[in-house]
Formats: sequence, C-alpha cells, structure tokens
Amino acid sequence: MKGLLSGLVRTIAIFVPVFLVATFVTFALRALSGLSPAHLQLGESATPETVAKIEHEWGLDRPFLTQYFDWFSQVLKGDLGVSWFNGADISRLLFEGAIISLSVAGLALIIGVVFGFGFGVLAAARRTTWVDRAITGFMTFISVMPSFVVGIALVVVFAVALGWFPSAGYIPAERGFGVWLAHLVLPAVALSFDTVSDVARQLRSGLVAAYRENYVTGAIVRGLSPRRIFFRHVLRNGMGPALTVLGMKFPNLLGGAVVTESIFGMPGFGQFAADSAQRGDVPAVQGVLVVSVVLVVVFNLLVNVILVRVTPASARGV
Amino acid sequence: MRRFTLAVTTLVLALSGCAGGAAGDALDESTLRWAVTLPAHWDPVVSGSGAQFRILSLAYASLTEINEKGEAVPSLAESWEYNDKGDQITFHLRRGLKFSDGEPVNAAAIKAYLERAKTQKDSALFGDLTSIKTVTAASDTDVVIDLTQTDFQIPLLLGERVAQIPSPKAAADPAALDKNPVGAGPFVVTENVPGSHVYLKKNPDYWDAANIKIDKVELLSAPDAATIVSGVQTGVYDLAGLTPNQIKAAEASKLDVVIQPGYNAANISININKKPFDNPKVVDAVRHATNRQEFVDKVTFGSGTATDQPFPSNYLAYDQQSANRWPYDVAKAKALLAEAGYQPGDIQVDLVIPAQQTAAEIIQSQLGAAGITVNIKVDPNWATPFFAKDLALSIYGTTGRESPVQTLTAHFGPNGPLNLSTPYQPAGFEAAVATARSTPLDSPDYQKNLQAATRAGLESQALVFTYSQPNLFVKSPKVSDFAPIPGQLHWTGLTVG
Amino acid sequence: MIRRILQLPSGRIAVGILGFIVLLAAIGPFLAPYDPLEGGADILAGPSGAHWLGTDYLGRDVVSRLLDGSRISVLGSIQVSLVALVAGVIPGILSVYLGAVFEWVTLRLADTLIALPFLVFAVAVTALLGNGIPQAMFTVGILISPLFFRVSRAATLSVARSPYVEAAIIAGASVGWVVRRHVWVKVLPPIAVALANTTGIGFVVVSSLTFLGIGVQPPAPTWGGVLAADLGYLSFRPWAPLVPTALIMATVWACNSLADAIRDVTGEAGRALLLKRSADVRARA
Repeated sequence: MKGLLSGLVRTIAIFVPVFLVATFVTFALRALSGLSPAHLQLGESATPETVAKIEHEWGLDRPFLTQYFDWFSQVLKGDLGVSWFNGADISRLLFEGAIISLSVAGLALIIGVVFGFGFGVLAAARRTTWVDRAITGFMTFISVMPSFVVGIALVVVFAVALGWFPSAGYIPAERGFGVWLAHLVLPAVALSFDTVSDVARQLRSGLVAAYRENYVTGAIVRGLSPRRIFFRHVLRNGMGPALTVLGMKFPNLLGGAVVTESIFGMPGFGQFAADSAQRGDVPAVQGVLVVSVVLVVVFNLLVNVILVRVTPASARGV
Repeated sequence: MRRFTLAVTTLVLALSGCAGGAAGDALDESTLRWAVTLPAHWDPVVSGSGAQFRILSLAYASLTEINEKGEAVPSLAESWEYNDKGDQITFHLRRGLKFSDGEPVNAAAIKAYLERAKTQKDSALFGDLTSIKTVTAASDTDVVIDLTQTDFQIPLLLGERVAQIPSPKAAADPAALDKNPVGAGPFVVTENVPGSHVYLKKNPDYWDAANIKIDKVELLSAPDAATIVSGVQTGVYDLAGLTPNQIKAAEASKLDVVIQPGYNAANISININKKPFDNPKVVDAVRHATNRQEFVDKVTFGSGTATDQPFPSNYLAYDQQSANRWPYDVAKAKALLAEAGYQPGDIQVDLVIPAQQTAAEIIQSQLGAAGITVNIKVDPNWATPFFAKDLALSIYGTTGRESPVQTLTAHFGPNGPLNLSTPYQPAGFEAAVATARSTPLDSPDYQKNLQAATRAGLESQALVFTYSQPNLFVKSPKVSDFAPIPGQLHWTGLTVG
Repeated sequence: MIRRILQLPSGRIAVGILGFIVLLAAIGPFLAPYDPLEGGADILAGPSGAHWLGTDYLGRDVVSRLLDGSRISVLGSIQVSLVALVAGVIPGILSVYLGAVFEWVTLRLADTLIALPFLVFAVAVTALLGNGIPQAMFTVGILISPLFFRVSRAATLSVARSPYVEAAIIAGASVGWVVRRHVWVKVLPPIAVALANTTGIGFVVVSSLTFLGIGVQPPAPTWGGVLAADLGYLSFRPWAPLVPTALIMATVWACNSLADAIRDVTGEAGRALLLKRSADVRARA
C-alpha cells in the first residue's frame, strides 16, 4: 500500500511539470506555425481587412503570454476551446474520438497481452528449441512490418477475400455489442503487432532469467510441481519487464491510431489529429496533444499500480 | 495451445456472424450510407459554392434546381419572370411549405437569406451576388429582385450552390446554424458529430417528399482512398467518392462506378504579377509546353478529357474557334524562353499545392522538358496564399458553375477567386462578358455571345487549362442510378434496396 | 568490438544487410538503369525485361526509383538519428554536471517527450511547421532524442560516481577533460545501440508519415514514397508493395539486430571486465 502511494506521488510529481511543459510547447506551436483561423473560415473571400477582423475576434492580436494563460485556465476547466475549422466544441469532439480510439487501443492491448503472454510463455517454456526460435523469429518479423502495410493486408485478406470482418468504419456499442466489436477487430489487430512482439520478447527473456534464479532452483529442489513453480515464482518475478513495456506501449497505441484510423476510416482521436493538423486547425491540435498527455499519464499510473500489486520486486522498490 | 487456437477460432466465427447480421439488418427502412469528407459548415452562406453543396443539398432545398440539360427548373420557386429590360426578376414560391423548425418558407425567408449572404462578414457567397441590388418581399410568395445590371443568369445562379435556403429563425444565430442545418430539404439531421458522422431522416414536409424513396441517410467519415472500394464492397458504405486510380478496383469488385456529367476543369494558375511570369513570352512557353493528353492518361485513367478552356469541350460555352490556340510544342516553348533571354534551368519556380497529386508531378516534368525548373511545395495551408494571390504558380480544379457567366468571371474577372493574377483581366473580357450576361438564355445569340466571352477570357495569361475530370463515385449495385444532372446529386427517385 | 559483433551470426547478417544498403545508398543512383524522374507513356506496367519491377503511375522505372531513393531514405533516417543524437546526448551528459536546475529541466523535458504519443505529435508538428522532409526529420529526431538522453545520462552517472573520475576531479581536471577522457568511452556503446535503434525507428516513422501524405516532396523517390504510391494502385500492381516493404523491413530488422548484437557484445565485454577485476581483487586478497 505504501508502494502504491509513493508511486502515485511520484507519478503526479512527474505529471505536473510534464503537463506544464507540454501545454506550453503545444501552445507555442501556433505562434511558430503562423497559422490563422481567418483563411480556414473565409476561404475564397479573404481580404486583409476581414482577416484582421477575424483574428481580433479570436483574440489573436493579444500578447502571447496573455493568450497562453487564458487558454491554460480554460484547459484546467476542461474547456479546450472551439475548432477554427468548424466552430465545434473541441472537448466534445475529442471525447467522442477518444471513445473510439480507446476501444481500439483497449482491444489491441488485450490482443497484445493475450498473444504476447501466450507466445512469450511458450517460447520460455520451450526455450532453445525450434519452437522458441520460430516464435522469436516471427515476433521479430511482425515488429518490423510498417503498420499501414499490415492494415491494408488485413483488409484485403480478412475483409475482402474472407469476408469475416467489416473493412472499415465504426459502429457505437449502443447499436449492438457484436457489431461494435466486429468493427474493432481488424484495426486492433493491425495496431497490436508491435505490442505482441515486444511483450512476447520481454516476457521470454524475463522468464528465462527468472528460471535461472536461485529461488527457482530451490523450489525445484524442494520438489514443487512445475506448474506451481511457474505461476508462483517464475511468472511473478519474470513478468515485470513485460508489464513495464506494456505501460510504455500505450503512447504507441494512441500514436499508431493515426495510421490505422486513416486506413479503417474510424473517426477517432488519431484521425482527428491528422485531419486537424493538415487543415492547420491549431486549437484542435493543441487539444489532441493535451488530452493525449493526460491519457498517457493516467495509463502509466494504472500500470504502476498493477506492477506494484503483481510483481514482488517492484513493491520492494527495485 | 490447441485449446487457445480453438477459442480464437470460435471468437472469430462469433464475431463474423455478428458482422453478417449487421450488414443484413433488413428492416423496412432503407438507409443510404455515404462515405464523405464531412462538411465543416452547415450554413450555406459560410459553406460557399464549392463541392460541399452536394452534401448540404440533403438538408436544404434551393430556390431553383437544374435539369439534365443544365437548365434552371422549379424547386422552392414554382416559376419566375424577368422584366423587359432584364434588370428585375420576380420569383413565385410554392405555397404552404415550411422549414423543419416549423417556420414558413415565404418571400421574407428568401429576402433574409440573400441579404445575409451579401452582408454576413464570413460570407463565402457575396462575390457571387454582385448582380443583386435589392430584394423585396412583394407578397407572401413573391420575391422581387432588383439587379445592378441586366443579368439573365439569375435563375441558374440561385440554384443549389448559391441559394440553399435555411430557416430565417435558425439563421438569426448563424453560428448555431453553421453547426446544425435547419432547412426545407429532403432530409432532416437527427444526429451530428462533426468529423465523425451525421445521421439524417426523411423530411415529410419537403415539397417533393413523395419522390424521396430513402428513409435515412448516414454520412460517415471516409477512410483512406486505398480502402474506400473495399468498404463499399464489404457493405460498410453504399456510396463514396472515388479517385480515378481506384476505378479499376471498383469495376473488378463488381461495383457501379458513377461518372457524373459536369463542367469540371483543371488548370495551371499563373501569377503574372510575379517573376518570371511578368514576361508574356514565359507564359506563352508554359502554354506550349503543356501536353494535355498526358493528364488524361495518367490522372484520369481515361475517365476525363483534355480541355483548353474552363469547362469540357462539349459545354455550350466552349469556343471552337479558340480550340488548340497554343498547341503542344516543346521546341517552340524552348525558343520562346530563349527569346525572353532565359537559358534552360535559369528559371526556378515553386509550384505550391495543397496535397500531393499526380497532376503536379506531370506539370513539373512537362515544364522541366521546356527548361523551366519547377519545385513542388506541398502546403496544407495552401488556401491562404492562393486566395491572397501570393503564389507565382499553382493548380486548381473547379467543379464548374451552373451559370456559365459565373464560371467565366470566376476565372477571368479582375477579382475572380480563381484568377491568381488579380487585378489583371484580359482586354475586352469585361465588355464581352457583359454582353453574354445581358443576353436572354432563350435568345438565338446566347451561345454565340457566351463563346465570344470565352474567347476574350482565354486571352488571359493567368490560366492554362489542362483537363476535365468528372466527379466520380462508387456505389453498391443496390443503390439505383443517379439522375445524370451535371455536377449535382439529386435525391428524388433514388432508391436503396 | 566490431570483430566481436561479426562473430555473432545475427550480427553478421545485420552488418551484411546494412552494408548492402549503405552500398545501395552510395552507388545505387549510378546503377539506376533509367532516369528515376523520367516518365513514359507506359504507366503501371508489370515486370518486363526492360523494367524489372515495372513502371509507376507516371511511367517511371520502379527499379531506378528504388535504387535512387535508397540514398534519400538512408540519409533521411540517419538524419533523424543524428538530430536525436545531438539533441539527446549533449544534454544527457551535461545534466550530470551542470547542476540541479539544468538537470531538473532536462529530465522533465525528456519525460514530456517520452509521454507524447509520438506519431500524433510528429504529424501535428510537421504539418503545422510547413510540410517538408526536413521538418519531418527534425520533429521525429527531437521526439526520439530522450532515448539518447537516458542512455548517455545513465552511462555518465555511472562513470561520474566511479572512483577514478572522482580522483581526476580532485586532481583538478576540467569537466571537459573528464568527459573526453572517461565519459565518452563508457557512453559510446549504449549510444551505438541507440543509434542503430533510432535509425530503424526513423525508417518506419518517416515511411508512415509519407503514407499519410505528410513531409512529402515529390518527385524525389523514397522507399516509403514508392510504397505509399504502390498502395494507391493495388488493383493494377497488387504485388508491387512487396519490394519496398521488404527493403524497409530488412533495413529496420538489420538495425534492430545490430543494436542487439552491440548490446550483447558490450554487455559481455563489461562482464569480462568485471570478472577480471574481481579476479584481481581476489588475487590481491
């Protein structure tokens, strides 16, 4: 419990400066980019006068720091402002988008855990045999595949040729759990490759190392069953690195959404980020970055909690 | 491990069962699922006359419409007539119509809309409405429009692009209207999440509701162009825009490729106020260096045609006399550059474009062959310098306008949005276009005068037209054929099922 | 160290592949049978005697484009890792020596960059700062610089706390001298690992950005660009993406394997050193 609390304090101590720095950098992006809402809104009918008028309306002619503090105090209240592009409430759009992206990332994480642990345990249990080598080779292979190639290949095989899953789109869970899940499968699989291979490789080396430890030898000498040894000693001590990797994978899952959501036409967080960035919709991009920092930190917090609960070593502060 | 595999297989089967169920949810209602770039603006005044009007036409009815021949036909307005001089037009509205918020569709609503389009500060339409002086609601159903000049193009102008009419009550708050449309169109928005999806249902109060056969429309955010066809093929979407390079994929998947008739034309936009194009010989070199057939082959995959005017060659305003005035001739282009005092490679110019496209690479290689080095700069924020006329060289593709005079002034007029060389206009264009504008559409001279205006416009050094790429759509065979209306999608009579 | 890497089979293959790719980057453009920018009438053709991998959407020879593109692709990802190197290693080493304030600031910056979902950030920054290859490289480089920051800082810390450095400082050696003489030696191997890793990451990220249409500068060919274009014309040349994909995958794999090999070798070297030392200690005792 004490470990949990100190972990929490540590994470928050890291989070606050991270948040401040990240928001400042994101906010400075507008000044650096020199973009303006005027042309997004006016298009063909922009004249210097109307541009100045619109910029004044958005308060962009005020000093930089005034704008920053103004924006920052709104962010603290959960208000990320409105989009330059369509005047929509960014907080709401991000909330809707985050549900989709987190659904995909969540399923990808589950796939990553299930298959990563499956392959990792199998490779460790059959270490130095052909099974181990085959798994390691396969994991290496999928870890270096560019995700957009994976995505398109999945669509071609599982949606078009086999017809098992829909090829694109997102259906909210209210319209049916099965339909919702079916739409998530292909993007989640495409997104999970990296996680599966990293978790599997870390787990394998963690477990192999744990098998070499004295207490495992001791347990074998004491005549404990292999199953008990594995779950009681090897797994609990050997999965720490894999869990840490899992924690570090989350930003990647969120980031990878940019590519997968574009391929699968999912109006999530990543697509919102890419579209907004390409349109030069600065407040929307700032919102994306703020929310992703928050999500990542919250997730790291969760992983720390789990890590403390599950593995004895991290509870001791090792 | 075997048990594990089994579990996965079962899961896959279960899920695919669900997917099948979703695709075949054969309720009595027919739904059109359309994958699109969702509109940023739902206020027609702000949205402007670009391609988004096709989507907005789901929610809004317009004053007039066009038929397959491109002629103005009744919509909210049942009929109209000009005064003898042609500087005043009166529209007679249908009786008893109402907007989806219950407000009546009357002359006051039309007046309010047109005045707002002329004055609202972020209006994207005021440039289209320069002919309109005052609008008067003469009675509940009669709208009298006084014009600044004799202009017989007004019924064409006030169609879907420029006169989609919202409820005046909703328009009292333009920011709210911009997020949520309130019109008298064939459908009403029921759910709208910007950037994600928009759901609409049939509007029983639409004037032609009897001919709307679809119960629901779902606008869904479109995936990457490479996976659009598979989306339609697997039944996720019924209708989507198509890029020409995917035509073959769509045909191979036994889907319908819709080649919409229209007035599209792509161009090379030149700024003669900037070096090196301030030298007319350089502009002439660009004209002679352009090989239009290469665009047709490599960009349109045969779905388009070459054109050297701001519309395809089968259009009524196309001037045969001016056809092929600057034929493709690299040797001549080189000679012109030499005459202008430039050695090959002397000229370096940036071609600024909003997104990577094949056409830009073709221009680069064609001008390169003549001795002009072109550097392509992809700038997502391209619209800013383009419409501020700050670029030296760019490209543009227009979907055309129902009013040919509007098309001509947009390209060649001194303040035309597509004239990169503002305030330049070719000599004689102003007079020629005024003649065309003041010619009644049923006059025997109409086509002749239009073509004369085109001829005068084509003297413009600001534009080199290249090819005409019609709008392409891919649709599931269960969606019936669209009426072949130039450049527009009409919802009447369309069925899904 | 290099000989030791070559003793490992995976190291040999990785070095072989990377050597081949570097060779491609060096002489590939001269090997190209056609001008990679010169289009022709025959577009999206299949493989033939004249065009071994067919032609692209402008009728350009794909073999020539891949050969010519190898230089920009390789230089591009090296550029990414060099930006990351400079932006990571210098503050990483200095954070140990320049006092608490600098240390705190750099640590927080590194935490921040690690926490950002970096593809999202790369897309955002590249698009907002003007859409070019240099912007993309620079952004990605900065975003992965914490990798270098951490390893160089960790190595420096371990050195800084070691007795011989303390001795040197007591003896009046300057910070610069200590860094040059003692720190570099310890820091180099982990940096080599990170360099190999980031070069691989650079490859993948830059090709992903290219796919999204960000940081593209036509008509110069890159592997990612050729791949992204091929994906748009799948119905004409369905097998076409395989070649650039294989090139990218092989390069990334080789970078990762090389990183592993360096880690193995230097780890072993460290252990050997440690064993020798403890043997010395025992011998003395």
